[in-house]
Amino acid sequence: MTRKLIVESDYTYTEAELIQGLKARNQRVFGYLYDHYSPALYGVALKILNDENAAGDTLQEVFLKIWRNIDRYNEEKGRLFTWMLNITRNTAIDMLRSKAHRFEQKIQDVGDDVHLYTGHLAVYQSTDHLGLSKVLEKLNKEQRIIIDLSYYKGCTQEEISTILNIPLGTVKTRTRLAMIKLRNLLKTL
Amino acid sequence: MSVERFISSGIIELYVTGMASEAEAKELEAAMVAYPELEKEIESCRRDLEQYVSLQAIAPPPAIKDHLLRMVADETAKCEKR
Repeated sequence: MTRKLIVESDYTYTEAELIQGLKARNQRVFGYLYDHYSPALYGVALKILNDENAAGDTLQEVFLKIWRNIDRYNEEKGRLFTWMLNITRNTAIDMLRSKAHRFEQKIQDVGDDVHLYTGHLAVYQSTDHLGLSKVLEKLNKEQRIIIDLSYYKGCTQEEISTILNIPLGTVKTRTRLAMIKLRNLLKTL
Repeated sequence: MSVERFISSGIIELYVTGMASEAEAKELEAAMVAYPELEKEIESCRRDLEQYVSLQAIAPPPAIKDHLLRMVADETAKCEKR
């Protein structure tokens, strides 16, 4: 599923221009937004759902929500990308739950999606693959799982405590340590 | 709680990954208003997590874009007719 993105023009919009264009219902801006952000958002949906069809449906729903609800976006509450990521996570997690995935399925998904870590990576940023391998190599499995279960699967602290069989307090300290490790690794990229 | 205590408590990481309880989130959001440096720390943590997410980007099937652009064009045309 790896394909080079075809960007229609070389023109780059600033975030403010993007927001303005979307609010003005500019379809060209919408196309640009899609070209630039769909790989990241599709990656999120795919990690959450572990199913290409469901991830594709989610992506479509997400971009329609962005188009229809752009007036609800509040710049003071965070960047556009953060807002879009939240819509994606919420939409995908809702879909995951509506599919009545069993609780255990969540754990299995995280364990099984190793192929997502190694293959099928977008080529739209040439450093991606190298950067990700570098990060994943140094982040141990437990640290990766704790970040993925919380961020991608929407697990609560209690659920993670059950899944990893560790006390609730340990979930907090481990999440913090995992994030510190991740952040330090990202700095070296 | 002081800014330092907030930072070392791990609550920022829980908040950013979406694991903070409602009470924790409220506490942090209230503190953000009082301490701008806390807000900066949260934003920086969020950016890092978003970078991790972006590293896992995957190009979606190309048919989705065509379909979306058509839907958006149809919707716009309908709105303009009204």
